[in-house]
Amino acid sequence: MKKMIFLLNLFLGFSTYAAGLGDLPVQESGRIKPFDTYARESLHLVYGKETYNKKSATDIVFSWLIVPDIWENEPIVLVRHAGLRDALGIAGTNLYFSPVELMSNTRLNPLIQDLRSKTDVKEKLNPFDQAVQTLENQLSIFHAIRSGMGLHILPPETGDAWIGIQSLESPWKEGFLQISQNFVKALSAEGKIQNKDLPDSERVQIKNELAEARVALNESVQSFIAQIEAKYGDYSHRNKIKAELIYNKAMPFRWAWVLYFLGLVFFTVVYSGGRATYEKAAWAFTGLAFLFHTFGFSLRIFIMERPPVSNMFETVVWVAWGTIVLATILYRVNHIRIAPLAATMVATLSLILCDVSSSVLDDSLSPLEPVLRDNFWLATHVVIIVSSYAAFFLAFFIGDIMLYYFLKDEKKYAKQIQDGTLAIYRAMQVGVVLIFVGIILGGIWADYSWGRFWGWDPKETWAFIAFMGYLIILHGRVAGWLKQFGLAAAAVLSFSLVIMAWYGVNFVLGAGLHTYGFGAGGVEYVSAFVAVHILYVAYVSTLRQSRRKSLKEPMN
Amino acid sequence: MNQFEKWIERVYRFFASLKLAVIVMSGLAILSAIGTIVEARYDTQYAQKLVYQSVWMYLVLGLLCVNLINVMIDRLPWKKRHMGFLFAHAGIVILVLGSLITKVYGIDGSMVFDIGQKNKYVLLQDNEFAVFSTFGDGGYKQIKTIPADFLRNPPEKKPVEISLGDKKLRILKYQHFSVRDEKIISSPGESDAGQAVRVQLQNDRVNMTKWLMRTPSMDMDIADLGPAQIILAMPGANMSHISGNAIVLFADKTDILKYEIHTKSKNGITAKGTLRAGDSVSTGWMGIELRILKFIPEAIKKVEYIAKETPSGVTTPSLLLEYNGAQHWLGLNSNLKLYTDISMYLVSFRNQVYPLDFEISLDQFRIGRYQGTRRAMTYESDVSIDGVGKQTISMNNPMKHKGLTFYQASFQENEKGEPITSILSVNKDPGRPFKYLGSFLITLGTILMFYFKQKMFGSTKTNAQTENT
Repeated sequence: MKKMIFLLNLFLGFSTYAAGLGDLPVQESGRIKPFDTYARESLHLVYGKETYNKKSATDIVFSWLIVPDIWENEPIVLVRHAGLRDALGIAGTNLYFSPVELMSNTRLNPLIQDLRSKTDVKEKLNPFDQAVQTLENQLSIFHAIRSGMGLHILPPETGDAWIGIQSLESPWKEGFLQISQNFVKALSAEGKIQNKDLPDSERVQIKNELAEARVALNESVQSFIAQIEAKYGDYSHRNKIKAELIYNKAMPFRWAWVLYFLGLVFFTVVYSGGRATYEKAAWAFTGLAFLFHTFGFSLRIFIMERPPVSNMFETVVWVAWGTIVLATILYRVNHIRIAPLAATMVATLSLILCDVSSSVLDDSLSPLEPVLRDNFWLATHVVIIVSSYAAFFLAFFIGDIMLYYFLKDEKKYAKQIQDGTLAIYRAMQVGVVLIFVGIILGGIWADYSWGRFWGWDPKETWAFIAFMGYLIILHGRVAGWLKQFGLAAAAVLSFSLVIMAWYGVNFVLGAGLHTYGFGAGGVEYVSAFVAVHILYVAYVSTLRQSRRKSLKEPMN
Repeated sequence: MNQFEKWIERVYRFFASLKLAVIVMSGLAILSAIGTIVEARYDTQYAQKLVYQSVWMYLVLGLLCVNLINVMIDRLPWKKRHMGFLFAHAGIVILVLGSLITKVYGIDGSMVFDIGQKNKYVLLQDNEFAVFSTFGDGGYKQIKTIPADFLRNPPEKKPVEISLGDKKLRILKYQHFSVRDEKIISSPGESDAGQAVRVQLQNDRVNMTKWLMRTPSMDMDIADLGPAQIILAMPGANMSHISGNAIVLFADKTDILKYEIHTKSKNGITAKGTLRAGDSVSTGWMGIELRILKFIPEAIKKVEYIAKETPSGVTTPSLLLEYNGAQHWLGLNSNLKLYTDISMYLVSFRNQVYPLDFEISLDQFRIGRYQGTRRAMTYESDVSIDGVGKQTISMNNPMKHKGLTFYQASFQENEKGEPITSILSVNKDPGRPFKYLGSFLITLGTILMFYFKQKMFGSTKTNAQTENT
């Protein structure tokens, strides 16, 4: 209970801090979001990061609007694709270019024309085309912001498309002007502070000025919102805006992985023979991480009013969460001590991936395609399928650890190996039931919505292939073909099928009806991850065989 | 036991063995994986016909059922602990049976309506090749229809011949991915040849070229360029209806063109004269010059389909036909007229059609969009059926009628972005109860099995500990 109160205070603190420019509701991409989110997403798209020179996205992006001429010539546009830089004749080590430099590049327009001719006939885009598309988006969003056309901040009298800044009329225009003026004041005060030659006496004074300007800025934003609310009521769903600000500022998933990692360290110490008191610490960290984790996706559920499993990012978060839940059950019910160790590994790895690879795992909160707008099926079919990935992921890491014991000394670690074998078997059983029920629910959803129970769509087909893989393993185990080593190796190898179903279909195959989940990037890392594990299994397996031969023992 | 009995026993053992089960499961997994790769490279139909509905797939599924039935027989007499095992394995057989029933007796197609239109024809996924004859009275009679599963039975390997009168119509070639290509070529003496002109309009800011072609059956061909029109007509045609800016070209089988330039601001003809290929003349509009790049007095359009390796948004299946010594291309869902001296035939390569015994009309179609964007959030069709009444079909909310189910599948918009056409998918699935029953049994059985396993695991714990490590 004390923990809860502590957390509550922490977040309330965040929420008062959040009030300001970032608080301003903006309509974009089919939903209302705080300017804070809008600015982070825009800066991330254009510049590749959510901050610029340690300055917040809200300040940077708002200044695109206020002092566009300065930004036109700043190298803020990230061109990641080396082939595209070559094609534009700007090859070299520099990745950042100014909007003017790119807009005046005569080679860009023909590339965009080529892209158009491809998109017009719905041709599949290769990575180069996608890079052109990204660059076009980057330039157009910069242009939309600097001209004010992209910032829709006022609900209309009729219809539902909000009004952009450049078309504001009295009295809204004056309200917004107030915000701009206060922003300029804060900006210039901040500029003065940057000056290193400033005498200390003046520094104090300017710091005060800055603080005042910030307060004035916040007040003008609040009064602008109040002005609109006086006419349109709760036009922006205030509570959701607040929740989203908390979500942006608190970074619950980052806290979660840091804490999971601490949990993992303590579990490792305990499991390799450390003092039992450390186990309490391990559970405490894991529990705290779990609270942050749960809090994070609860906020996403609250903001978007849907189960948190609609894109790659959300499923990775969910898998991490499901693994912790499953491991806790295995620990409590079957007393499998290795489960929480492997689960914190899964959770740490997954959430670090979510944190660092935002260009691949898109964490933005975007509206759903029409077919997915059914919370019942999202909450059953998708949640259950993704939960099965969690079970297989757990089996995978336990398998990894088991292989390590086989590598070291399988006699000495016989107890651990047996513990692990049971855990893998249990996790696979849970996974197989979940994936089967998930596939069938998908069939029922498809039957109910499209009249097709099974259509060999790549996503469902790969789920089926993974299901077959695990079914073979379970049968092999029952028949006694797979002993302890075999099961551990199978747990590691068969996870490749899950990776294909989960990631490969969307990012490598890129075909089928589940088009709402397509993305790009990370293929080389994922392939390397799979390859390394195959080599690991092969290495341990050969080593073990040669050892057995030298001992002249019968083979398993 | 004699040799024969031993042999029978061994075959039975194999068909009831776990070894076969693993082979079958691996086979299913591998075939499915191949299918997904084929689908990613080609298209859904390609993968369906050549992988998922291939002989191999049926063989593997057949073996699966044999294997499952045998393992169940093998456990006779059944005991209570076998319950989960039996449910799960029988469930799979029932599920496969359900899928087979769907494949054989089910209907899976689509219906396309414009708003305000009625329709009673369901377009199926499979294609057919139909031949009609005509007797000059304008009516057609269907004389031959054959299923056109050319993806699986390519005519290059298995020639298709249809007798029409005393001559044979041959299907020479099938291209699953091809792009329509239209060429205008000179063909003097051809009876239905018309006139074709390639014109260029040019000033220092505008440069456009355009083909115009008028066949004998047409009054004129018009190219609409927004602020002006270019019209190709026959000499002496009445042009009094023109009120805007227009260039009129009069052409017949001679190689001289007459032209008239109508200018709106001057209320009539501002220039006229004659032109040959290569000549140019000023239009008097913003310094735009008109040039005749090419003029073919006796031209025909030649349609060809060029094969492509992989699909794109513009590819379509096509056939190459031979009749009466000439070769013709025919794209999917198009028609072709074939003549001999005495008769005329119409051939059609098209989707198979399933006629409903009632009509559906699309009264209204709506798209709900995400606020402030063009992105569709929901779409729904208001339909009505005579004697039944009105109903709304939307995503995740289908309509059932006379054993068929109608689902909202897709829509089309016009250039202004207004929805004009709704596409419903239409479905009948007699295998449905089997699939649901099978799924239910598998789920129940698996859970029961694991439950009994767990009990067994507890009693055989010592056994597990002595397992060779």
